[in-house]
Amino acid sequence: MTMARGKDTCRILKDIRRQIAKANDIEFITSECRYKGDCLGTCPKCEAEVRYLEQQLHTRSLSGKAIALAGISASALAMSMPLPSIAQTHPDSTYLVADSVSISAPVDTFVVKGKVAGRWTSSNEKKEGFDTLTGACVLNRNTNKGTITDIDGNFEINACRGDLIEASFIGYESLTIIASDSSKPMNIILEQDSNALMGEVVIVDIQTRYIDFNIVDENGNRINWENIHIERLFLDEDGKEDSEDIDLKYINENNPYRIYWSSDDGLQDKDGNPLKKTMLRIKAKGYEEPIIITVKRPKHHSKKTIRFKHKKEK
Amino acid sequence: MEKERAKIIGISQHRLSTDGNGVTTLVAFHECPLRCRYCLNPLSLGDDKPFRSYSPKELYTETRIDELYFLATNGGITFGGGEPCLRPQFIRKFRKLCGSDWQLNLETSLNVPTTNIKCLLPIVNTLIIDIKDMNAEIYRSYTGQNNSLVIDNLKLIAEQNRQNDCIIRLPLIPNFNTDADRIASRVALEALGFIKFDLFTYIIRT
Repeated sequence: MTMARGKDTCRILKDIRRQIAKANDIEFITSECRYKGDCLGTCPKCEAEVRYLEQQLHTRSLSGKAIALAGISASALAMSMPLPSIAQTHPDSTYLVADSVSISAPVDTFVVKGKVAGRWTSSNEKKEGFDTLTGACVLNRNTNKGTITDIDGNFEINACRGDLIEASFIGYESLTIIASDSSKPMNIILEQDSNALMGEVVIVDIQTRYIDFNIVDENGNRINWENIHIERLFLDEDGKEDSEDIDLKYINENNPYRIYWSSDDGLQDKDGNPLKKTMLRIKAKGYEEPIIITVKRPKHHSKKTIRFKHKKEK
Repeated sequence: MEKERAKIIGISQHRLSTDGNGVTTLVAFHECPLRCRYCLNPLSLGDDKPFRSYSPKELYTETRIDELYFLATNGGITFGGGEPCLRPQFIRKFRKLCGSDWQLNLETSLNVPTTNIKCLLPIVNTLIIDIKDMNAEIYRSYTGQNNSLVIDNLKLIAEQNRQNDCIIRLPLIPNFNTDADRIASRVALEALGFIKFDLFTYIIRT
């Protein structure tokens, strides 16, 4: 997902550079990016192209020539990116359409009428339904002209047979349909894009209970996550000692390792209720004896530092 | 007195039409007056992490790399966070440095003193306002705060006829408000002359 978004960003930025060059008569040859890793939308090659354009524009302005910059590529953006879900009520408000590039319409242009709806399913996937989408963006990719749906999800757009009509709405996967016949309404149903939504409104329930473990050696250096094993110790029904593995999460290099109390199966009693307190055994590969501690269920978040000693060489 | 330097929890370049027009760079400030149950950026709250602090000039130097894109697409900087309106002097200084051609947008809860908003309105282009809910009780239970400053600031924006420069975000917050509450919020906001709304639902990931 990141990579695809990065590549999209790269493509759009490149298009903007191309338009700047064209508007200012700057010779501009761009090459395809060969970068194979996760694309962040820019890279040294792309940056170098920006600096080249800046230099050329500077030269132009020094020689007294006018520079055309503002607004030249709004249509490129509008064409390529889903728009925020802005539902507008004001009758005069036009969104996006104003900047679009106009292309003289071929003779067989007709008006496509239709509706955009989004399909939803409940979290257990037992129920599903449709919501009409107000303010969804509908774009004719062949003419770059677009419109947004009204309060009932309806739209009208000019098209020729074979034009690509793209509908997009934040949180849904965009869908492109080929315009074929003006007499039939074009009903577009968008599917929820869980990834896209995550990108915009990922939220963390800050009341989730967790414990952050800072597990270090005698010098205070953090012990590699892969070398750590945590288990819960308890007595089974026969009174024998038993243990269960606990999931220690790796967040990133700047954060301690974490146990989620509310969601870890190992920290629940046999009825599935979270334990009030428990005994944990922490082992670290290459270090001395395991460390056993008793921890209480945190009210929100809590922190613990666990210090191991390296095994003594014999 | 506001400090000259501001702690910044993140800078995200090349955002396309997600927060504001054109190509934007999101600059997220540390600190927020609210404690929302489902905070988007809990990083902005705690003090347990060291974040780099910037002077307006350092931030300008770092973000200027994308000036060409900003100028070509009518884009610029979106200040978010945390709460950017806690840093009016910082943003004013930034405007002086970047000049009038960059778009400066705020992503704000408006839960700040009205003097801060008065100070910022003349120098920003767009406000993306995260209203939560207009109902004071819902607002308090979700954010832990009173929303009277929000209302005062909305009135201030309306008095200055800047409603068209605002996008109002109206979330459906599971367990806190309903569609009917959201409609009520929207009606109240429309009465103040606001016309652009962004309706969305919080998805809770545990």
